[in-house]
Amino acid sequence: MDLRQELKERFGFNEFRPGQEDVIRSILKRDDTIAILPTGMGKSLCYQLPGEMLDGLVLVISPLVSLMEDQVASIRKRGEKRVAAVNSFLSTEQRKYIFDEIHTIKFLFISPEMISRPDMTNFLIRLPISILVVDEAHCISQWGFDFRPDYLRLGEFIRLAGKPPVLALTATADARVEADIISYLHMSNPNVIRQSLDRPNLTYTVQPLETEADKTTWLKERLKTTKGPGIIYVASRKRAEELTRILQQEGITIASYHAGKEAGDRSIIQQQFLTGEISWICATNAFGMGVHKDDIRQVIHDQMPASAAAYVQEAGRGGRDGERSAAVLLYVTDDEQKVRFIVQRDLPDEPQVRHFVAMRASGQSIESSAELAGISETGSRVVQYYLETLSLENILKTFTKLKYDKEEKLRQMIAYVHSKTCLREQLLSYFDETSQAKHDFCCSVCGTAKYDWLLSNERLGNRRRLLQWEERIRLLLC
Amino acid sequence: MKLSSIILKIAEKMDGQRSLNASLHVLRGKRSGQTLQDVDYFSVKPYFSILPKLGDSTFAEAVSSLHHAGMISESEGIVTVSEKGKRKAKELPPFQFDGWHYRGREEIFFLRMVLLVQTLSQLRNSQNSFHPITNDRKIQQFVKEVLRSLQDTRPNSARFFADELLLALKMTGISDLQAAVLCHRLTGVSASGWTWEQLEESTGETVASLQLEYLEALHRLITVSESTDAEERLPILHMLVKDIRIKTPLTDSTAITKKLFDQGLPIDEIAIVRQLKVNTIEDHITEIATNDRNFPILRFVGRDDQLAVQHEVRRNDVKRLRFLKEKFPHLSYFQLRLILSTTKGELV
Repeated sequence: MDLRQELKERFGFNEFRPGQEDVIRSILKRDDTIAILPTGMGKSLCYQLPGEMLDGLVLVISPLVSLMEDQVASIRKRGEKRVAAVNSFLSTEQRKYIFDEIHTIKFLFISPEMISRPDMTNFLIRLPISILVVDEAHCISQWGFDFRPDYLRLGEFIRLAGKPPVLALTATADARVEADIISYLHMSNPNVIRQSLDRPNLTYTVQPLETEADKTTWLKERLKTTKGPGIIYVASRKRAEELTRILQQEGITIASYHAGKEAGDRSIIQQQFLTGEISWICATNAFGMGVHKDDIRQVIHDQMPASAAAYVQEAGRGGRDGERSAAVLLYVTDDEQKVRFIVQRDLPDEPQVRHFVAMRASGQSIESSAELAGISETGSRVVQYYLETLSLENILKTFTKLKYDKEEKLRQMIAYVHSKTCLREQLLSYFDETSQAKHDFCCSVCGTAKYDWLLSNERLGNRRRLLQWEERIRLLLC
Repeated sequence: MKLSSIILKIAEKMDGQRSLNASLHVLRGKRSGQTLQDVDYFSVKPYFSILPKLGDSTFAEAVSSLHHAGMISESEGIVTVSEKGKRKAKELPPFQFDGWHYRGREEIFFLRMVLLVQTLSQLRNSQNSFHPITNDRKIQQFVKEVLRSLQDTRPNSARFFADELLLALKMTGISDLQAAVLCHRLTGVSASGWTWEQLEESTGETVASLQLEYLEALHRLITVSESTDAEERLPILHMLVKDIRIKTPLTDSTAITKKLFDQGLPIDEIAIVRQLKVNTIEDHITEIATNDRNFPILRFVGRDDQLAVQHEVRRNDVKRLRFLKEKFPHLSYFQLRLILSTTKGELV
């Protein structure tokens, strides 16, 4: 079959990106498939193209509403209008409309918690599903950095739906996560297509500093002398706001972005970043999924993320156009403790679990039991899930293991910042990979993380000037 | 525009009759019987539900600035507006919100307008493919319909809409600042909208104040675009305001209760059918009474009691329930509230 021809006709591309063609061939054979492709390497084409070629509905399970909406938007943008998304934000009426029109839909996006509702399951399993896509499939594994308990219920759905071909997509999965994906999604002999995580055009730098204040000073200097577009990842909304204000005072065009921002402002900021009206975004990890900006030249972390997988994903948002991009991680000694606290917060300890179980036994609701036991919302969902399948003793064992594992993940990050050997090799080793070739602009340990190419003495952004309203209308429309 | 000024306006209307919390409920648009009745009584409907997410601390801060300025005081749950406060309230410009009729739906109108402007701007630059500013399918479909009807009739829609917007904003009588804020929240090719912080920085007004200016401006623009002659003078805006004004001021839940009530079911039975508390159903009934001139109040209170309570209210100019309850211990709070909600027209 000439897939290139299909690609050209339906999407207007001449070439597949690495890995895509193998994945598509596997799916067209109706084999279960796991595709591990780095961020920004066109994962969605892997189901869009075969979806167009096969009869039946492509059901895409997606963890975030924003991600879902974004994918729907980009499919519509290429002219495919037979697409819809179902999530808990829809009104009953909107949902009913989609169901009435389901025969006209080719791509249906749905959240994991929606799909496991009995009425929804009953409705969906009767449909002719051509491909069941599990996006961000690493979320199914508690070994992954972004565990979502709702994903664990997908296996049951797949069984009820009569085991349609399953395509699991993710950017990062080590051997354990891969094993979890296979087992929880009831996959039979899946084809695993793995593309190297090595991004030759990224240059890695670890920048050790003395104090938190030094980080701010360093960022000020860096942003004044080098070019964007860039992202600064910070650990909290508060830090995002503060840092943004400080950098704005230096004349840098930057906006903060986090889940606490008003929806209107969030889309405005994305747009300003896309058009280049602002050069920098200072964001929590809420920013990223579904941002289509190829020319990001720097991704700077104000604090280390909780795992190497998360770091690879976030830093990997730079340089999608294939041009060079700098990945910088700032580090002070205190960071280890701070991140450890954040990481362990969502995992209840033994007394908490026992308290929760006792409260549930005495007839309290999940919510109030969690509150009384001091367990976070995520934590309570995890406990609740395990309570259905495991004994209390086994749950406690599992949690001990999880805690240990999260600590391991964090140790990888800590080892990374202290690494005396090549940072790229260090990162890749966590995913059982080695670098394919020696790179000219590799990392700060190799001594080749030069950034003179980033230097810029461009005049900093002018102060924004409010227009007269009549003038503004004319600018927009005349 | 300051939150404290708006609170002062509301407090002045409720002077000596209600707590400050009653103003908070009005601003947040609380759907309790008490609040729904208050907005009617004290003629503060325009402020109803204009700040649904108003935080306790923000409210407290604004109130404390009024305290410090010696304009209001509160004791035993009753707000008193000082002479100074009354003078200040008189000096304030008349605010032109219409919270009662829009209740947050003005945002739907604005999203439609933003998407329409963005689309027209893109099309004008021959860019047919772009990332829409909102992913809300309902908004997208609505705007698509509007565009379809425009293409049939107007060759140069962008230009046409620009003229219409210029005219409409003049007709609203809003300030230049308000119009500027509104227009800078719009997005087009190489002219993205501005965030609130960016607007704050270049106007020198706080985000909170700008958002109030924006809200009032939006309410004015919708009102102007709704009018009957707007169909001719502002045809596109007239399309954009479709179904924004709420048709029945009843809340959804109350509307269901009303159906059962109209079938003649007594309150306790409605409560059982709906699996709600009797108190809640009573709140609904009060809401229905407030909005229905022909409410069959005789199902709940005798004619004599009605007249007696009305007389008392008129004589002492008192609307406090507790006071009335002392005078008429045989009537329930629910009955008293019903009498008050059905008689305000006759009292004035």
